[in-house]
Amino acid sequence: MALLRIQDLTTYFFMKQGTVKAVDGVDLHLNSGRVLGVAGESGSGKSTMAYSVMRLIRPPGRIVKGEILLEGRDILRLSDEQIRKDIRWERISLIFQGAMNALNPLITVGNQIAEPIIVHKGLDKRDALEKASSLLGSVGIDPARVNNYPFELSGGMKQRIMIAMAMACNPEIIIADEPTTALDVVVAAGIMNLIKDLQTKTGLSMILITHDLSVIAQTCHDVAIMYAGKVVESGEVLSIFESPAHPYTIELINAFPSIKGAKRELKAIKGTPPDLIDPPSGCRFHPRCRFAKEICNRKDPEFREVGTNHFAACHLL
Amino acid sequence: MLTVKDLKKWFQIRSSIKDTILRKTHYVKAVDGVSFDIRKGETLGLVGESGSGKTTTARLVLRLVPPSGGEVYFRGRNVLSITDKNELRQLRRNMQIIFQDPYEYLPPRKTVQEILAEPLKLYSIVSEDELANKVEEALEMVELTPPGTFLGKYPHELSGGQRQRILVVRPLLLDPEFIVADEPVSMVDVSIRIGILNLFLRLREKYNLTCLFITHDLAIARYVCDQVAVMYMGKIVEKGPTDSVIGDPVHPYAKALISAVPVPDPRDRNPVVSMEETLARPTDTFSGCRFHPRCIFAKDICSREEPELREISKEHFVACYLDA
Amino acid sequence: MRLAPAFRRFGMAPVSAQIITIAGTIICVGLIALAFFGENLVHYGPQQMVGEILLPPSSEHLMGTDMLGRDVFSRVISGTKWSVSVSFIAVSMSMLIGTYLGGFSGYFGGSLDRILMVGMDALYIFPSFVLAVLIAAVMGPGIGTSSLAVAIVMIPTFYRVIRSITLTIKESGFIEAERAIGASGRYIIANHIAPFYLSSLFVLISLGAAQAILITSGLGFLGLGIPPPNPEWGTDLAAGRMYIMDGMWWLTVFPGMMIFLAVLGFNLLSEGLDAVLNPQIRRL
Repeated sequence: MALLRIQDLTTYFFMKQGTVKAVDGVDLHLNSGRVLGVAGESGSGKSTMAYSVMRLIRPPGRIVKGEILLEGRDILRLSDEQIRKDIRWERISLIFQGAMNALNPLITVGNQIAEPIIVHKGLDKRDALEKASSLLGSVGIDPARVNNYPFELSGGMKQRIMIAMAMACNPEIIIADEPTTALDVVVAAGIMNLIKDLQTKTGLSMILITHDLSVIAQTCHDVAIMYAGKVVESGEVLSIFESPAHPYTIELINAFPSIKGAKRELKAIKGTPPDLIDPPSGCRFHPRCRFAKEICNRKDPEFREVGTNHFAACHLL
Repeated sequence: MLTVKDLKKWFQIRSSIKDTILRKTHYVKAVDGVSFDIRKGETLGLVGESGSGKTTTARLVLRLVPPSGGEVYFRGRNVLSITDKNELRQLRRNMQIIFQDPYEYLPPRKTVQEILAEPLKLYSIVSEDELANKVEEALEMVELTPPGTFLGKYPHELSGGQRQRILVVRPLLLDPEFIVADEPVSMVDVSIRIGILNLFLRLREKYNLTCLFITHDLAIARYVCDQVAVMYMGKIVEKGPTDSVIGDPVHPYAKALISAVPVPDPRDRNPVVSMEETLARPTDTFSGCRFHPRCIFAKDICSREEPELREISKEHFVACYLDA
Repeated sequence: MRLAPAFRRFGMAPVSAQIITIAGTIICVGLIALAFFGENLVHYGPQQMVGEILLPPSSEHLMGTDMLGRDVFSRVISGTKWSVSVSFIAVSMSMLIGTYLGGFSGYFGGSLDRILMVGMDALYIFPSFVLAVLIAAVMGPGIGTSSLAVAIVMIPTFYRVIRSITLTIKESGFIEAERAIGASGRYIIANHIAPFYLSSLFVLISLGAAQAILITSGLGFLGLGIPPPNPEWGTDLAAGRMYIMDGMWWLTVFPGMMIFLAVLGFNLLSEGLDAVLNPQIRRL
């Protein structure tokens, strides 16, 4: 049963130079207890999508169309007040990109974790701090550090604190935007293990946004590949990696060097990432696609089922 | 072609009054005794996390940063002891660098034409009329075609990938024998990376370059380098042929590092060899092996004496007491 | 030099800045024109005795006559060339010396830099007018002295600003890239750092010109500047002082007005240029 269902989400940014079609008709669903990886390069719209779910889009951006159904209820129709009180942090949390820099340097980490608990759950300061302490323990940090200031902690620890903060009110869904970029390899691996552990232990559902396919391969159950504001392929991680359907997915997988396996010459994806104000006509990937045909220029392909639980949008399938 | 011996770079930190009275000076030992050789035509990858000293080492080899100790022999001559300005200049022509950041490392107010013509002009490599041709040739070599459209553009009018290509080709206009590549693709989009790496490989072959390749991404190191050296806190802990070091690492840090790199294959989910989290500060002084506070295999001797690099199999060196 | 970007920047500046810049430019250009051609346009020579002494302004003598019977209007207009020349010479000297030293100091650092900073700071702290008076008092009045005094006073300002810009730009990535290619320090300063001086220099020059005019007039007022009978504004102003009590205001007001206008013009120009060349980030 899909816990979160995003249907035809469309978010545009209305700028002086033109309208940036950041997210242009995206369909996604997140099943309960699963980790959905959203992969794409910068400009694919993945962060914008996450912000749209949290209703954090500010002018000049606006959610133009679409529905976001949380257990059947469209949260886009809720009032600002309802979103703030019932949805944000209570049911869906967001870990921002570069979040470890978002910590307030003047407040202890304990207080920062406690803050959402006090606001949402109504606990008093002492109980909230206790909960914060135990949260620190569950993310692998010594609970005694609850009185430390951010500058006393390493990058990896700060990221763990962001995770603790996101979990403070026991949400059902956590969206993590590039949680391991900017972290050293070993620290990043630690964070990924932590996320995997927490997810299995608490059964929460996650949306993991990243440009790194390796991270997705290692930690996600399901994958959605985004390109130029649209989802081009989605399905279970094994089927996507074993039998990728969309040309972009195929090329993307081939563009990742690995430290294991046969050494082969990797092929670059020709062309450059698209302009979102004036995206290519028809299929947005067609100027860079090896297999592009005439129809690809004219018509936007439909998102269709190509295998069990495996969907792609391409005219060649 | 290049031999580095015991290279050191210590940054002095301002001391507190207490330290000045006690005559203690604190240093950040960014690079603390690094040695390696690179044979002609080979590429050595210098791999490590942030703070390992790899970027500083790259700068030291080219003498862009004054060293605190050590020697760098390029074709038999110690680069760090040259005092004659002209000789240094000629040397610079032969030892070049591709920088990491395509946003900060191109002069913002010069056109592509001027940027590429500059090295040629500085050394009077070609005559005035030949200049335009050479520049166009260079643009074509990095697939910025048609060259005419790029000549008059300013860096901010180009995409990240295009800028990076200019960063790659510019030093090559001097026809150097040795080139340092400092994380040349880390600031570029994922889908563009392979394009630039493949370009680099082609150019490397065409110019028969000897390379020092700096990166934190082990998968890229594997793709590009013949030999790999793993750095930790200013020292090399393991070095040897790429397949040897990455395929079968011996040093505990190298083991942890390599096992932590995620593989883009969902069927291959390996456990990570762990090490303790650290809060070591760069100014701390050590006794013994730098890694021992975090090493899960640490023995008694590890905290007392610092291990030297020892050859354990063909050209594969490790600095560890583990298999002693 | 490419002018097109400059005009575009002018277009993007707020209207207030555009008005100020145009107003300042008009005044300054007018003054420079007067400096070159003024003497030829007026009817009488500045030393010429043309009529009765101390006549009030009339249609024949627009600004009246002074105590020696000279036409004030002619004197005032002819005097422009003195103030403008001294400004020009002084500002050019300061700019060249200050910029050269500032660039060198900022880029190469070291003990030279430290010595220069201390020296410049010492000069800078000294009240500019007092310093000018001291120099002029020691060297005696004259155009050379005035120019030198004003120049010395303004060098530290150029030095500091240029040095500061150099220090900032020096740390940029592309400068390191230039060093890696093998460019020498001097080449880098001249070709890669100097372009960043321009916008500040424009502002500094106009500000400097304003200050120069003020100091020159001040020196003239004290009798230490351009010597009489030359028609310098400050000197004339001083000479006219004792006649105010008797109601002969035109001897002081008109020279004073010219000083005011000149300083205003250059200040407007520098303010306007600053707003155009250094745009503030607008709040969204």
